[in-house]
Amino acid sequence: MQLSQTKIKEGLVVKAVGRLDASWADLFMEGMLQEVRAGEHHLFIDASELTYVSSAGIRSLILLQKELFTVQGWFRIIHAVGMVRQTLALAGFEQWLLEKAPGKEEPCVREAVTDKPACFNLQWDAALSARAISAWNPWNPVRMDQCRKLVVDEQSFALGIGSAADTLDQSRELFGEFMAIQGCVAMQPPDEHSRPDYLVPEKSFLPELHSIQAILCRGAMSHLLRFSPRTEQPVHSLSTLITEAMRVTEASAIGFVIAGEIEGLVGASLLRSPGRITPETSTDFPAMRDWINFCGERMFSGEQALICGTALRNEQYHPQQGALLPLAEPGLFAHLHAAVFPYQPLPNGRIELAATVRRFFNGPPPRAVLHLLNDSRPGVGLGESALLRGACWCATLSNPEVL
Amino acid sequence: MLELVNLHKTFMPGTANEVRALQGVSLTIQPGTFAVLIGSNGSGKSTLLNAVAGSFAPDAGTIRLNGCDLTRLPEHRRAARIGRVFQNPFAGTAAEMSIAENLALAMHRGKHRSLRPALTRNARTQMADRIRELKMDLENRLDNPIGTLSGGQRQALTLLMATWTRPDLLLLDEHTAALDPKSAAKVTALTQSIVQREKLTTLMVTHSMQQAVDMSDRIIMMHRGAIVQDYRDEHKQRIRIPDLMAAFDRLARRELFDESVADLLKSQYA
Amino acid sequence: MSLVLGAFTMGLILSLLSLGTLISFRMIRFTDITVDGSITLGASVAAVCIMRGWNPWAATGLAMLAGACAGAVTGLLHTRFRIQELLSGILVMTALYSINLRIMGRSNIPLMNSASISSGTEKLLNRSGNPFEKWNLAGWEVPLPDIANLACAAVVCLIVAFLLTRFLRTHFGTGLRAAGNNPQMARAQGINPETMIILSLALANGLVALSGALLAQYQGFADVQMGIGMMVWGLASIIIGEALISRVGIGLTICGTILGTILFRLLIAIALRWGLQPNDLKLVTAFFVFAALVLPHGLAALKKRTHRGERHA
Repeated sequence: MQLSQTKIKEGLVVKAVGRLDASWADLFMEGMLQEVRAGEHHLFIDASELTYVSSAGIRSLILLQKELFTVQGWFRIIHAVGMVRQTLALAGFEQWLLEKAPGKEEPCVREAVTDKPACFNLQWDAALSARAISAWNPWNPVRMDQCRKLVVDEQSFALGIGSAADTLDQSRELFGEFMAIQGCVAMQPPDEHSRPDYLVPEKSFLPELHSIQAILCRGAMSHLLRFSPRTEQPVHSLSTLITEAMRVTEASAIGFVIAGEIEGLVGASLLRSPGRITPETSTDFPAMRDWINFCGERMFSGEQALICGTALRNEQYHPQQGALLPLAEPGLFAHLHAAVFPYQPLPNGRIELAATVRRFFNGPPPRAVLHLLNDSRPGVGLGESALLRGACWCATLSNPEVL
Repeated sequence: MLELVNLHKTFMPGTANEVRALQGVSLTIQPGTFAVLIGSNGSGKSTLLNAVAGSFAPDAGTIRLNGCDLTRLPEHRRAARIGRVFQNPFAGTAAEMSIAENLALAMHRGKHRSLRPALTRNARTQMADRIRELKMDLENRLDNPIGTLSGGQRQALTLLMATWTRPDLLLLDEHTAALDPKSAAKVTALTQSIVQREKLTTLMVTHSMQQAVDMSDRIIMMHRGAIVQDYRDEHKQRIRIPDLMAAFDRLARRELFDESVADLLKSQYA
Repeated sequence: MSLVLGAFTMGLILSLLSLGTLISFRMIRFTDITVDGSITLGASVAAVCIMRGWNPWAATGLAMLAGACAGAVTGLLHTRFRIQELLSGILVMTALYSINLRIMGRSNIPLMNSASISSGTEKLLNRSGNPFEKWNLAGWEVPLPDIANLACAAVVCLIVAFLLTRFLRTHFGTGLRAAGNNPQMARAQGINPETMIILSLALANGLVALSGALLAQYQGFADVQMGIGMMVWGLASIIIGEALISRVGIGLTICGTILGTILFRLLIAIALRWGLQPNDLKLVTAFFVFAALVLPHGLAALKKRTHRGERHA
């Protein structure tokens, strides 16, 4: 099985040469999914030199169709002849068999390289209002009286440290990183053995979180950025994405949600609930290792991340007094939490935040929830988290002073 | 019940090759528990097993089995209470002696060795009966030297020998690691059936996550001479291979967590 | 005929030495060179006691005990003080040289006309009272003392062989063999291999000293030099025995060793008759043992090669 690609105006023509049977179906599938990942959601499979299709081949085509369906994509089979044509027709692919690709089938340049990510205006006057909760200053004991109950409704997103336990008392042992978007919550229980947990709103039920540290943003998003690898910029670090979002919103303080394929995440998550810290507890190194887990390498390459956060450009900002932390770019500060999900393709073009988030939370469970950070250690530093392609919804923050 | 209290062992102390193999290991294993020790190479799991078996005396700490202090007893004096199967399938049997003679040794493990004939007719009948259960067609070959058998057959016999006089504790030191897959599966199944039937307290070292998950009541993970994880009861039941892999992964990450990371987190986690 | 008879008697006496070597070398896997000293020890103790008028049987028993002590010392040096096995044997052997001289008081004790363990048998057989009576054995005239010696040696040898076979088949005996075959396994079965080494060496050297005591009585003298090279002789006998009877099994191994020793003595007697210099005997023996140790590998390789050749053809 050999695959060769030609880009045409209507989509991508993939020429498959050889036999599509059980031995080659996996390789074929991998090759096709790679194109889907790269954003090619309209595929023409050139079957002119395909000599044989077995049921295993049919199965891989059905799987490909399913995958494309989730991103409103499709594929067509062109130039199928003889046995291959018959088999495909009998298997129910009749309607997708074309004599030839539409248009002139003339090769064109694979991707229109624009200087900047594609930008969609959603609602020009939308803005977010922020609210901050700070009952814990690492690594001091938690001020339990200042904990607040947080409800992330369908108009807001939030990130912080908290727990979904019923009472504040039960929460004390369970505070961990969370991120919540439009009622969907992903959180990391502070326990070495536990997997990340998640909650999805159902009808009248909205998850509530006891938070000891949180930033809640309420409001609508004004812009959507779509970014993908470009020759001069193969990966998008969070600093560049945030800078770009600030450019399109023309704001120096923004709130945003990013969904995208991961190049590498750098982050940390709690291993023990801060609620257990007493004035006598030592959290200095090396005891700190029992309290927090640092990723140690750039993680989760190839998976999908949902990241939410707030960012500020202000040379005078002092990170010790607020909720934001310095990014790689000087003068830029942000607080970011990410939930990692197994890979699934995102549709191209303008996509809805609510639908996208729902799709993540209705799929396989999250693999991790972590606080993202900028590893600026000289020499050994892992740098900043970065994404390959995805979408960023953003809007200006009307009250950056609460951060 | 096996009780280990604060065991310490350093090999070649004071030299460049100093190895702190055990650094304060404490562990209690309830009677009838099948406990599995896992850990990377050099984590101290085999050292712990050898300490219990009595291959060396620990620098500090106490080993008690059913309330009896074994710490200073030499290996052969512990044999009456402890059955042991080694990783090397040739280590547990005497190659030049016959199957019957090897089994006769095991039937008298830890007992007084008298000047009475070892192979009575009665003993041979017993042997044939027990060996028949192995379904290895060995019951008619009692007088063949054990060296003529395959590794799998020898390991199965070693297991039989280790459990013949029901020991208070059974030690299994990666006993299927050196066997071919088919023999390994057979010995694994045999181990499970014997341990279940005799309700043996067992401590097994293994590299196989699959074995650890499938066979045990309790999984103990070691790292750098200390116990870092102890999955038991209902926690053990939810453990699958990926959970163990993740636990190893966390250990590796913890190694990378040095002072510079601590400083970084002070500025980046506020 | 007297030559054959002598070789047989000598072979039976030395088979006790071979059995001792068998225990140390094959059962417990200990290259025990104490043998060279303990055989002389047995001879000298027996000789001195007989000189002083002891009952020859009692003297022989004491000699055996002395040999056992020597073996135990070697074992203790190895197990308690962690001295290499060969070196601990050499230490005891060297010490025994002086001890033997001390016991005898000089380098040679003749026992020509003294009583020996065969005296009783001789008296029993000699009905005519003529000390020079000869028996007709298949047409050969054989002096009575030679027959008495042979009978005694055979009886002692049979008793020892029988007891040893029984012993090695007991619980204790299997434990001892296991300790030699696989010390790790022995420990796991509750056997202390170190104790077993000490006991085996005591037993082995006891047998060697017994052999020495009988040898002194048969030859009619004890000499401080008589032990040199004895271990290698024992080894050569074991190898011949194993070639004769290759099946494993305690009884057969012991029979094989005895037969091997006798055959070895016969071969030597024949070789000497044909004009081999007695001084070259040890060189020839050493060469024989070397060949016996190396040849099996060479033969196996040769067999494989010819076998392959056949298949090609």
